Amino acid sequence: MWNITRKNVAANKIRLALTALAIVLGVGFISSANILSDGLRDSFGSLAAEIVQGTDLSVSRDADVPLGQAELDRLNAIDGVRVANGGYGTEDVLPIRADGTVVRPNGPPVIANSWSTDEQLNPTTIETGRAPEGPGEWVIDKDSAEREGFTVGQTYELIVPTADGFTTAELVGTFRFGAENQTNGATLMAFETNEAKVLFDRDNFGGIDIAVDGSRPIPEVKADIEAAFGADYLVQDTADLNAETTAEFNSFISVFAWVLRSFAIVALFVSIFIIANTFNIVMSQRVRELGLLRAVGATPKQVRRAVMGEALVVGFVASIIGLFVGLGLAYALEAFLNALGAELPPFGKPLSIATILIGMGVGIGVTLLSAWVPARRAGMTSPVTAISGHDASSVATGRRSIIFGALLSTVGAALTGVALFGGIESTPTLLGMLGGGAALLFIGITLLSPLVAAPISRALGAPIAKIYNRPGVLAKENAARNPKRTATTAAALMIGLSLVSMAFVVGQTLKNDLNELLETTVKADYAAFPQGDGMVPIATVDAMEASPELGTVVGMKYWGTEIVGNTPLSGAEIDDDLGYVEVSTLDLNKIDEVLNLDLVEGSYADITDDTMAMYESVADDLGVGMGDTVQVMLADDSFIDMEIVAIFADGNIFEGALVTEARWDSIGDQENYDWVATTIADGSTAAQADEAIATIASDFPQIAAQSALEYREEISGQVDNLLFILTGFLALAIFIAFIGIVNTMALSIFERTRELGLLRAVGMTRNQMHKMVRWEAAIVSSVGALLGAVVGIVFGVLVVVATPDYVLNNLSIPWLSLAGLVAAAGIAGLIAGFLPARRAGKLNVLQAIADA
Amino acid sequence: MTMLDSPTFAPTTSVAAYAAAATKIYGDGDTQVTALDSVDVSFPTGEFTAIMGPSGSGKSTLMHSLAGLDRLTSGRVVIGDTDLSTLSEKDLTLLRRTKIGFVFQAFNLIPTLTAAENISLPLDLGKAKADNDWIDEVVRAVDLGERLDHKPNELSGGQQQRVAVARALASRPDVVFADEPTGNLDSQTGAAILDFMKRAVQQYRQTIVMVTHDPVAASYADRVVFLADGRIVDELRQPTTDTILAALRSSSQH
Ligand SMILES: Nc1ncnc2c1ncn2[C@@H]1O[C@H](COP(=O)(O)OP(=O)(O)OP(=O)(O)O)[C@@H](O)[C@H]1O
Ligand SMILES: [Mg+2]
Repeated sequence: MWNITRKNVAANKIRLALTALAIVLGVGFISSANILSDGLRDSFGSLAAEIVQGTDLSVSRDADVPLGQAELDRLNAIDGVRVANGGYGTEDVLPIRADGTVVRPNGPPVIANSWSTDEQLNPTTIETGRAPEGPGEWVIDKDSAEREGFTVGQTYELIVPTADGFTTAELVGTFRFGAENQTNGATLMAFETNEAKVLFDRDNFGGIDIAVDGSRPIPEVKADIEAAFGADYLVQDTADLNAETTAEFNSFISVFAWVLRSFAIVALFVSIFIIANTFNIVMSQRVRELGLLRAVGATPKQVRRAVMGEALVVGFVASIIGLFVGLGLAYALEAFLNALGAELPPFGKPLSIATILIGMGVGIGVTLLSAWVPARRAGMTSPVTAISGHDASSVATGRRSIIFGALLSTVGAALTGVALFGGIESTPTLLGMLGGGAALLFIGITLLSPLVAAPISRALGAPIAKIYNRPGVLAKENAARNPKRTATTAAALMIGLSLVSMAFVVGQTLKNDLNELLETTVKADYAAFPQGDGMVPIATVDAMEASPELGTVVGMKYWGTEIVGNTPLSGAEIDDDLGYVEVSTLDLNKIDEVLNLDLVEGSYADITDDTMAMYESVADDLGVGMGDTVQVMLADDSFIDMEIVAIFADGNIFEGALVTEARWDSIGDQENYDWVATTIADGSTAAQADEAIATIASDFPQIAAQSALEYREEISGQVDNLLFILTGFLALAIFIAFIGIVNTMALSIFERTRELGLLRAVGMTRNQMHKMVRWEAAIVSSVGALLGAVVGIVFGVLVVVATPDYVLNNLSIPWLSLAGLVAAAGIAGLIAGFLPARRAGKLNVLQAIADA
Repeated sequence: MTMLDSPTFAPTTSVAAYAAAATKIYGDGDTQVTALDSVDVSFPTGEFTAIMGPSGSGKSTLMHSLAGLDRLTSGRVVIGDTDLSTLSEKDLTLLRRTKIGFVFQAFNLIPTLTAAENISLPLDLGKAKADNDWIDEVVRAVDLGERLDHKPNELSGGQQQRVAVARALASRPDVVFADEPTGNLDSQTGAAILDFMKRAVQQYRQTIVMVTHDPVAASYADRVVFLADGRIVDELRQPTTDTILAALRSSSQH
């Protein structure tokens, strides 16, 4: 039987190549994710070592406890400590170039640190000039200095997170990080320690690094510090720090790798459909040959083995090619990310044993899995078919596969339903159930879709039949003649497109909700937001208030803190942070001038320093209501009682609780604002106010000021970008589905050789034949897209319904975009049909007729 | 065939198709096969011609060349007043659609179209408006009744061949070519098809050229042309089964 396998592989090169392409791409993506994460892990591992090298011990806060000069003095006094050095770090400082433009983080961060005067504890070394020694001095890493055009000796302005928002400092030197200033694209700056405390707006050290004097073993010193400082402080040695830093890097790398992997998994899942379909078609075309094998005495098992052998060969070869494609993809992704400004460290591209085993295993496994059902069917071929002959082109839909399909769909839907609505709290379980449920649902729908494939094909093909007359009618009928084949081919496309459609629905709902929220709740004409991670400085608010063209100016602040009610917050078990409620504040006297908050009960006028307004769904969550008292955690970790005197409705701009500015100051620790709303002054025109706002925005490059409309447009744009990126990632799966269409069409044409010859003989032109084949492909892909859109809408609706209302509320379906998607799939189908159509057109009429 | 002795012979309206010095050579060198060896033959309008001859004598090759499915190595084929050798691939296709009808031994129908749709297929492929009276007449002659709306796989072999003949007649072509149209049928069903073809010739002056191995089938024709080794070796007018058998015997003695 091995001999038959060998001959079949050799005889069907093109078909196998197309089948293999799906596997090659899937394995390529999986492998590149592994190669990339292996390489980056090595590279970041050595970076981590470079960062912590020199620090023998480190002390940081593990609770809300002080870490300042007093703690530094206590550490310096401990026996065995040579020097303890407190440091600060922030990403809120941005230098301004000589031409007035701001150096902004563009992928890699812009980091400012305090300068450690102890050589052992400082991973950087001065290259030119000198270290910063006091106020008004700063240093920057040498590559960034060169790249951004900063010259030693010059004075520059820098954006800082203080109330003023700016500082001026002389660049007194440049430094290198480690041996070669390998910063992975980050911009590094440093200030003298006390200056850093002021500029970074810090009360506590970020951490205290310690160098020992060698008189005592490090573990003993560590034990002393732990005994002296207690459990509220975290004491780490070099190994701990290294592990921590490495773990931080690794979690970033593994998120990245898992994103790649999940899209590869979708692509491979789609591949299963395509490969199974290809094997199925080929087996039914070879039914005579298989029958003959059976007639001359081959057992079902032998036939099955011959088919599985073929799959094994295809899977093996494709996986090997896939590994190399993965290697190439890893280089391409590195180049792509670097082109985006990531400046990844140069990393090796190791083809580790694990990568090879996973790639080969997945590739061969998927192929064998896909071939299993076709092989079983081939094995069950009756010897009679060899003699009786049998039309491979039209196969009735089996009742068994319908029942099985209904069963799988039900189980899949149930699983997805429980995942969405069952209140499952472990994220991996949730994702596993969602993924597994969706996969079952997809298989189930695929098995069921032959029931609708023919009518849908005919309905979609009707206008084409009108336009193109007979070739159009034939295209439509050909798409409908084998519903199972059309359904499976279309299903591959359905999967990718249903995910895209779902994202469209969720995205559109999100956009609309945000729009509506802004439209109904914001009365202000302009909003000023920090650019990037920072804050809106008090100085900006002062400038707005000073501007005669602007009216009311209201700054807003948020802070997450613990609020205890009658029941624990849902989600609190999953993640500590989710147990926090966002507490907002603003000048309550001016609230009506800039915001329109929908109050369910109570009044803002009743809010005093000991009372609050609460968001309806948070109150429900906490099991409290009007007039109830909750305990609120203050900045010093103590709790106070506060009464709820107003409830505001879901879908408001504040998500948690609203308190007075005085009360907020004892809860939060922040003087600058999260965002600022302002109005046009009475007597000013919109144009004048626009200009005033633009001037302030250019004076304070750390903020972005926009009119309400601009802001809404920006939010829509951001959602669109997200959808675009997601669609881009799913493009692989969609591309593989189109390979499937090309493959199926090519096989169908081979199968219909005689028929096509006859059509040519009775007067169908090549052009008409091209049209017929290409429109058939277009119909098949439109069927897939239509099914995908329907399934995607259902998924999208479920997600919107399952998500809490303050995240997604009013379902809105982007019909136009979805129709565009289906139309685009149809056009792509026309393109996919190009090669098979050419093949059909090139058919030798005489030979086709002779192939009786 | 005396009419065709002169290569400058100009066709009159009474000739539907003719071949002059038609030569077809397959392959080259040692494997070279001369399938047609300078064949001159004409098919007068309204005549039913049968072509007979041993297997490999070139019958199908001649038919395919006449029908514009294959090109000659040398010589020419004229359908109506069109010289096929001057036509592009596309024009040849359009000519097949309008001027030529076909019936093959098997697999004549498109499985996705109904019997009625198959009949009108050549017309539907073009933009020319169909002659509905004629189509109705042909459809009535096929005598399929309600089966007209059935797909081919729901028809018997004989019914399928009848539909195929109707399809060949639908565009009122200059010539209908049939390559062993009854080869797959039992003699009774075959006879019905042959009757149908003969009626088309008698009632509508349709020109039909049919290849067959069967002397009974050939006896339905007005004339039998005998082919051997790519040449025309004999011709019989108003044949009967007996005269055909005799001619076959004598030609095999050549
Ligand atoms: N495509 C081809 N390539 C090479 N030789 C061919 C080809 N087609 C036909 N021949 C040869 O040309 C000769 C005539 O073939 P043709 O098919 O015309 O015979 P035929 O009279 O129709 O035979 P049959 O009665 O068996 O159908 C044969 O010797 C055949 O082998
Ligand atoms: Mg023949």
